[in-house]
Amino acid sequence: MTDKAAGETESAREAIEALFRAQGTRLLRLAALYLEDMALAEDAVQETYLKVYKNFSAFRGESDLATWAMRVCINTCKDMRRSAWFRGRKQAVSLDSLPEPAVPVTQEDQEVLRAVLALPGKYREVLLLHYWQGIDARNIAYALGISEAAVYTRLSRARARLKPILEGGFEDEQPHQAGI
Amino acid sequence: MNNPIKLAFDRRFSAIEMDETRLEKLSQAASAKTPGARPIKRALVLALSLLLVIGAAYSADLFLGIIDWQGNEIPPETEVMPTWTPNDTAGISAEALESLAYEALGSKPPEELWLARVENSWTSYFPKIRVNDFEQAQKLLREGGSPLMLPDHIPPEYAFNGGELSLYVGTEYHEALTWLGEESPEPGLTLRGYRLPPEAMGDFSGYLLHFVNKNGETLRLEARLSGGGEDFGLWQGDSCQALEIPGFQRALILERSSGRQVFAQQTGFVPISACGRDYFTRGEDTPENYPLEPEILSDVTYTLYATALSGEEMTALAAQFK
Repeated sequence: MTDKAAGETESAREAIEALFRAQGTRLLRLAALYLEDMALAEDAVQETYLKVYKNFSAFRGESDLATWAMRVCINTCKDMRRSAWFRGRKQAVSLDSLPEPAVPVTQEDQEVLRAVLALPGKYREVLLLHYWQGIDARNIAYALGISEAAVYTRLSRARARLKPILEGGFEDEQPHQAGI
Repeated sequence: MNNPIKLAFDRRFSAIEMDETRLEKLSQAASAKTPGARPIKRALVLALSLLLVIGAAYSADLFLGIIDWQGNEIPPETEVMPTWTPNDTAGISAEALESLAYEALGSKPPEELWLARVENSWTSYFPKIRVNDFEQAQKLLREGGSPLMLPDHIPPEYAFNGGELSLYVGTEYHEALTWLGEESPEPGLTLRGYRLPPEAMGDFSGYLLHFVNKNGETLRLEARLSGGGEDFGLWQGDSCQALEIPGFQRALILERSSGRQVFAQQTGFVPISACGRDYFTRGEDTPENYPLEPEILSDVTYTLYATALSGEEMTALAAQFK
């Protein structure tokens, strides 16, 4: 390996470590939600880390690095859920198998959790990426491989379904541009 | 910003943090499994090259999953998030109640539209009409003025083995639905029925027709009205190719280990405003305001599936749809 290549490898490692230091909690929580299991979530994030590292040179800048990592993480979780072992698990799942919250969850929180988790998956996924993870529509579209228009449609439908629960709801009626 | 979702999920997941211990484990795993920034021997270069090739293939697998009409491979949009299951109701789980609901809905006569409620979630099952042969399906579609197409004829070695046409409820018929009442076959499960007006009985949203040859090989024809934006499952080992078939806007053929599928898209008819809800979801619980959502149906997606026909034979079959 040349000095230049070695230097690039080292700088990639530093960039990825910084990325996971900044975004690791977000990725871990998302993986925990997808996989409903902390051990699996940790495996998924580790797998994500390795994939990002191995494919770092192929990153084409279609999104920011954090969104790319989130896309890799989501696909890793989906791959794990498609595995024969995972499909064989009981399908009636909840968040009960995840660690108990470190701060109190209110009755209102419980109602919100229940309502959001009752949404059809494609609405729930987009809604949580936006309102929980704070990702804008363009980056959600990239992360999920769907059109931006589909993101807006799903967000709108998800909000309509949650309206009875979230009276007074959101101040922003359109997806904001906060980025990831 | 008032964002109850963020507050609720942040609090629920508050114990999950990327702490220093986890970061250290990530870094160690990467060091163990990836090449470090150090001089390596020629043999290791070769090994690394091989790893990169394997890694690239594995990476490509990641993005197999869904293919759209343009042939773009995109990550799948499957149900991947956990599904909330309400508490058991009178000893029967909500999951079991949903299963019972689908059974009950499927047993209703074709002229009736039934909705089912489990706790606060609703689903509907749109009426289906069984057909006894291919000619009956052709006749019903023709008489209903349906935009759905069928082939002129089926390859002679295949015999009809069952089929059904499904109906939709046009928004213009909402007012004409007749209230049939409610049933509660189990505590926690409510069924609500409406009779369709006779004029709605020719509005077909799709069909599914099965044929089989003497060797047990299958041919299946399926059509479904949709609002566009269709995509198709793509699995490792599948190959996909775009086709041009007269009469269709777009077409694809997927070669799978289990058989071949030709997908074809028909457009160009007057879009249909219909109501549909085919999964359990939260809805308004008032008798006069049944939870049907209007959607615009502007495309038909056809699926031809065969275990023994060649790609050329399937394309030729699709080309005689009219």
